[in-house]
Amino acid sequence: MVEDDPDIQMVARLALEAVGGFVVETCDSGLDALRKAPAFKPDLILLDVMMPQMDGPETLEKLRRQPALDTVPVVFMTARVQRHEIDQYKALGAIDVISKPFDPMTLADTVRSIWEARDAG
Amino acid sequence: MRDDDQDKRVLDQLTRNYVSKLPEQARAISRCWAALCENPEDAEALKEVYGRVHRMYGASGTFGLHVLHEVLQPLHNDLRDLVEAEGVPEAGDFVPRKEMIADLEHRVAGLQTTEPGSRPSVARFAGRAERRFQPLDKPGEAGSLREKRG
Repeated sequence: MVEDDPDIQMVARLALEAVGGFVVETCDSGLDALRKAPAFKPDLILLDVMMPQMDGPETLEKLRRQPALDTVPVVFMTARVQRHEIDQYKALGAIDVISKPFDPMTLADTVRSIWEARDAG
Repeated sequence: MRDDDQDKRVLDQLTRNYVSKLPEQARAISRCWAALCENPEDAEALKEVYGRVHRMYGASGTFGLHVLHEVLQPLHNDLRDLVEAEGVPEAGDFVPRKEMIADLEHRVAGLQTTEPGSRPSVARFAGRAERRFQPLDKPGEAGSLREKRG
């Protein structure tokens, strides 16, 4: 999970680990994600859109340039979820978009649904 | 061995920590706003204010502070429009947001007297996390939850 806000990062981590049972690695910037992801080998990346220095779309573009990460599914997290923006994010290569604020109680289910929909597709 | 109450305590603590940081965050927004009003053509200052409001807007909703989240929405959207607008904003563009910024500190101060753990979304979340970590030998919801999840 790539999220620059430490408060969101902590509550999302708790939601994904405690409720969802996922193994979560957190990164506080796009640069941090580029450093950690090759070793962690994520099944899926949750990527905040609005981050300082390197935003979500730029991070995604750079992740895709790494051979080990060029096919890892990426889900954007953003407060901006108008239809055309979702289409824009998907055109960049995200498989889905989770809107913020998210409900910690249902975040893990949302991620699981996205994962299963991808599997089904 | 995992403590069944651990997740509830952690979540409560995260929420309390977040609420306790809000007054300083609101003051920082006010300071950045004042700097922006003195120098309206400073695009970086505008982005700084928008970034801070954007963070509070997103996090407040996630922590179940729905009133604050809704109060922030028009301010957030207005600032976003200013950030994305072509051309340099003028001092007059900031006038309608002045009261919203001023109101923010008062609203955030009021939150310090509420009990974060009593908010329904936090309680439900904590309850669900607790069920997941119920020991396997306990009958009831924990078992059915795991079955549903496969």
